[in-house]
Amino acid sequence: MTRFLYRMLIALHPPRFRERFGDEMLCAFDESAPDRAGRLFADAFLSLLRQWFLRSGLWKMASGAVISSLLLCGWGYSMASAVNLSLSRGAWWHDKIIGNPPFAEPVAPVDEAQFERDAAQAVAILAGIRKEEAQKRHSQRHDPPPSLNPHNDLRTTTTKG
Amino acid sequence: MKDELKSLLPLSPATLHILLALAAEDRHGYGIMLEVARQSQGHYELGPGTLYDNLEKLMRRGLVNDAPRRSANEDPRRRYYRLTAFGRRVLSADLERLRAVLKEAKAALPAIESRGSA
Repeated sequence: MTRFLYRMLIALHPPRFRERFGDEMLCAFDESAPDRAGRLFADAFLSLLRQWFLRSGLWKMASGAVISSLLLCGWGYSMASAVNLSLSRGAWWHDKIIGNPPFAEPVAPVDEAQFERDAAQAVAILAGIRKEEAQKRHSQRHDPPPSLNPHNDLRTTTTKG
Repeated sequence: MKDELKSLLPLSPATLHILLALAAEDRHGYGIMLEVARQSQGHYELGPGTLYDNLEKLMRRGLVNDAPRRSANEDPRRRYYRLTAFGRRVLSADLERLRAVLKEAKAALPAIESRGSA
């Protein structure tokens, strides 16, 4: 059982190291006294960490990944801050220049009842104007213009003569 | 070459013990483990993981290389290792450094002992 576990620990080593020294490590384990098994397991576990993190270059990849993710996070944070800042500055300038122009009179709140009365009055005025226009059109249709009425012309000629 | 040798010093305890174990003769991994335990009178024990990690580094730097198997009857999984000429020079340089450290320590020891007793 201990041998099987030790073999598993060796099998977890990086392939380059395992292929070169795996058999020899197992041979040394087989030849060691059984009471040293605990120390050999601790040694193999440390060797596993050492080979993966220090010798295989994994630490370079891991540190590269950590550094690049930190840089990405920093970049994202700074971009978000910059966008927030520009928005807040834009809003501030908007408020300063457009929203509250200097020397502008304060805007009174809208009186809805008054607004409705004014609107009704405006509609009534428009309706009156339209009615007058319709009446004018109607009277023009039934009374032809004076130049086209022969009786009118005759009358004017007779009165003149 | 001298700069390369200096860049390897001082040797780590594991490296020093492995090179010392291989100084006398070619050994396989388990043999190196036993020799290191003997040299240190059981105070320093190398596990296979630590041993082969160090052996790989030493082989890459040219201090140790593979040696032929002694007999065909041995376990085929066993591989022998040998100290190279460069490895021997590095070991000598580190032993020289340790000798100088020991000399300084011996010179300082009376003063340290007198302070301790006072």
